[in-house]
Amino acid sequence: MLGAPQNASVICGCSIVNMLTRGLNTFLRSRAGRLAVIALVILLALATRQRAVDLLPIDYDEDDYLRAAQQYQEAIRAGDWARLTELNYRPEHPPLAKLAFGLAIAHLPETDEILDRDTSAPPVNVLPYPHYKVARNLAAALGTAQVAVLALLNPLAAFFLALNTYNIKYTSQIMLEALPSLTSAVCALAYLRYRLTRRRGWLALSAIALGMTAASKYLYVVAGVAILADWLIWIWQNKTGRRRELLRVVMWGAAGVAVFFLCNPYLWPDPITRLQSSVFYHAGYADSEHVKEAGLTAGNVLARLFTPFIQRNVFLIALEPIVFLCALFGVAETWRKQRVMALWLAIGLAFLMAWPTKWPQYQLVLTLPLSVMAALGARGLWRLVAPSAQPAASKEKPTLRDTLRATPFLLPGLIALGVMALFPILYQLAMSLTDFNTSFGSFRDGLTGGVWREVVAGLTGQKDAVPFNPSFTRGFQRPDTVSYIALQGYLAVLGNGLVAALAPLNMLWAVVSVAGQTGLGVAVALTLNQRGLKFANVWRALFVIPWAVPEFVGGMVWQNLTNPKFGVLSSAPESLAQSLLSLFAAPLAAAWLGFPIIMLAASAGLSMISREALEAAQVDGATRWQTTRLVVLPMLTPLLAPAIIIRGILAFNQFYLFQAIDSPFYTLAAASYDVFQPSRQGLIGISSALNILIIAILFVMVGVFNKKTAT
Amino acid sequence: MKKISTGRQILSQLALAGVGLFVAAPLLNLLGIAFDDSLQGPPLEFHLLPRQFGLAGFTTAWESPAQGLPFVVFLKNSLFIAGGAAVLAVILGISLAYAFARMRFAGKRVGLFALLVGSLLPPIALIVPQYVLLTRLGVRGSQLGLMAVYTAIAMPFCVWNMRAAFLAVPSEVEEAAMVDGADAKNTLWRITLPLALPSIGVAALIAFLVGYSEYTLAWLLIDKGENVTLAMALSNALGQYTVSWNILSALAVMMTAPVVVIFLALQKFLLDSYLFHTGLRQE
Repeated sequence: MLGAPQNASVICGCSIVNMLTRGLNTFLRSRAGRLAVIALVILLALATRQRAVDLLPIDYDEDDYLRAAQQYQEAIRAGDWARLTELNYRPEHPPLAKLAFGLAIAHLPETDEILDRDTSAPPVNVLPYPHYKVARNLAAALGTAQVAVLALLNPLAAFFLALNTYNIKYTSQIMLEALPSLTSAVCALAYLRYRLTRRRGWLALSAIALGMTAASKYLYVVAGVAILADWLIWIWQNKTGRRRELLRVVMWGAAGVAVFFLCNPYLWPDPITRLQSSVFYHAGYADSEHVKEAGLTAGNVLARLFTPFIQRNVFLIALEPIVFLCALFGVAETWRKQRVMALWLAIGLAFLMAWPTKWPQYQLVLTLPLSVMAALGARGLWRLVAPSAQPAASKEKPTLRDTLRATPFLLPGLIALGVMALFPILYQLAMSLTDFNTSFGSFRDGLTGGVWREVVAGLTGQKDAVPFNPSFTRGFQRPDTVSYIALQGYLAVLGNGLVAALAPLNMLWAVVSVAGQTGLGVAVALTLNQRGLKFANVWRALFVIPWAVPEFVGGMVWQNLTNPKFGVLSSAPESLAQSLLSLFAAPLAAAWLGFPIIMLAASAGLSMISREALEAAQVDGATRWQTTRLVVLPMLTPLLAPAIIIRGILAFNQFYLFQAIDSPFYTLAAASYDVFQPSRQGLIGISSALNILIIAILFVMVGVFNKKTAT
Repeated sequence: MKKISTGRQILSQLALAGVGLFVAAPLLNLLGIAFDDSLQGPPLEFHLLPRQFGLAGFTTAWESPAQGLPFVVFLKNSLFIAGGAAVLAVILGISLAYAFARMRFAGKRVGLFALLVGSLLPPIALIVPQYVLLTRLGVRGSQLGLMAVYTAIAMPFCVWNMRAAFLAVPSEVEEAAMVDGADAKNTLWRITLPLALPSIGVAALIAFLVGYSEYTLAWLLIDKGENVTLAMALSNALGQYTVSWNILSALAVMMTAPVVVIFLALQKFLLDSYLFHTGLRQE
């Protein structure tokens, strides 16, 4: 490629954008570029955390930990070092993180000790100033340091971590999370360096960090467990040097315990008893009424992976849904390339889901490995959508003559589509910039030209955007006419927790339900396509029937069949099978309704694949399975792709099915209908913004899929 | 290709029977409810067979399922609107699909995706824009207006399906026709179209079903009882909690039956590769 003479037209086609992209790429790959990116990510982490330090209201427990810090401050200022071994307010947590807060405020004048209150008491209104700011600043600095450490491994992962709302929140308040978050990150990254360099110094650093982690908060030792698991797997896979490596594992663990003890002065006078009472406190607490009242379930833990922490004006952007999706995409890659992160996430998740206490701050155990997984996934996704490096020079550009020749073929369809399909989108876009709703005055005005009037006035600057109440609730004063609100509708949609939670689930639903339909449809088509199969036409005639059933009738029937009270399995013991069945009613119904079309498309496609190709393969000695896999499926994929894309779009926007089936989950399209419906919120403008969001998500998904299946 | 062995035949039949059970169970359940005269509202317990076999559901659904009109009126409306939309979508889309499959023109890659954008909108998102548009065009409330809306929804899918079908026809066949002196239109009409017919048939049926089973848009765009479609009638009945489910199920069965009949009638034609193979062998 390098030596080939450059074609003049290729250079022309290579626009300025292309050159800029290439330049940027080169810069990012250079050492200076990498450093610049890392610096930017660190600055971002600092900025987001500083903002949170200033704006977040005082939360539960902050008074307790500041009180502990005050006690340490007093002892340090008095030079009474012996007292450090006796101090540990909130003794269920080891003292290191609290001691760090004490050191941070040691230079400040002493104030009256904060009132000792029950741990479950609601947040206080006032804390001593500037002590409380200084302590918060320490947390923010540690949180930023965690991002910085991760940036050395993977800047994109650090970017995700820097913007994670849970991380921002709990490393900006006087909580115990910041220090163990940092040390557990150091622990894992030093271990990874050791694996790469085999230098024992890194191992020592990892062990020190492990001990400090345990001395700050027990939960974060999950990282150490993941390292241990990863290490043992690696030793098990390697035949040589097992003995020496196992010895190092033991040394690492022992050093960790020693550091834990050293960093935990409270244990020094009476190690066994104090350690016991501190550790066993948690089992008792997990059973306590306080935890039960909170009513947090394993579902909450999962939901926090993709829903941002909502605190208006503090967090400017919520990447959680996108990060979660990228992470889903990156699971396999993480297992291959960063197994310790995959193990960390898996073990942490399993523990948090099983352990009864599930406070939101515990999420910080998961956010670092999740960010790494998302970064690896995002890179994979980027490779799918990025324009390929080699320009498609083989095909000449179509000439004007070509285009003119094609015009009569294009025109009738384009005119019809332009009127009937393009208009709704433009109108949708226009509505999404207004507060158009179903109150009488607004509805009347909007339908008689008010939407266009407002949007044109707004976009040409003749009119300022009217402030819009972004809450999705009813009952706020609704004006009599439509008003231009600029992008406030989109902000309301993007900042809405329900939308953030539904979006990734919706994508998952589309992928899973289409995968089910396609798998079944293709399998059946291949089975029916065997030569000499008896009753093929009878089977095909039966299988095609669900396709003729309207979607909501199909939903109705499956809802009836799987109903826990009177469905087909309701007499089964304990009805466990039945409740499982009702949980899967929606995917089952979707597979039932959707597979016939795929079967048909696959059958039609199979009838087009020439028998010669198959016979040639079989003459060459290929087995039936090899022929199917290597000859038939590759030829079938491009024929099936349109059907799959269409099923995917229909599945993503599935609406009638969820009208008929009681499902804990539904699609964005159904949510959009709820926002739209006059009997619910009746906010047509907001619903339009949501619809545009749906189009954007689908467009990316279709693009990715098409690129993957295109030959 | 060799014929399959007996063992394979048995295994295949067993697998197909499994799928058959999955497909048939809900249908039998629907039929069982439709023939059960003992029902007063929704079924409250599961029965394999109707407790009181009867045809009351079907007679009611036939005589007056909704709006005080007989079933035949709704069926006629549905067949006209959905059938018309399918025919329009295929006719308007066919040349577009051919151009996207075979011709070169500026903006082709982008255009293919741009076609889909309209279909990415959830159907309910079309309610307000189509209301405004059809009012402006003066066809709101008429069957033609609804037909146009369904055509627009179905057409991009049709174009994509038919484009794939055209791509699958070997271009050598077309080139041979061109050498023999046929122009582009003739090649499409006499050579490519017949060869791609099975897939075009599938595309048309998919388009038909879009209109046949849609009801949310229809309820907004149709304002006369005599123009109501089957799907609308059924959704209306489903919304009334007092309705007996044997009537509802009978109506669903009666709504589904014509499509099944249409398909079974066309099946041989659709899936027989006769056209394709003779087309090739004559070369």
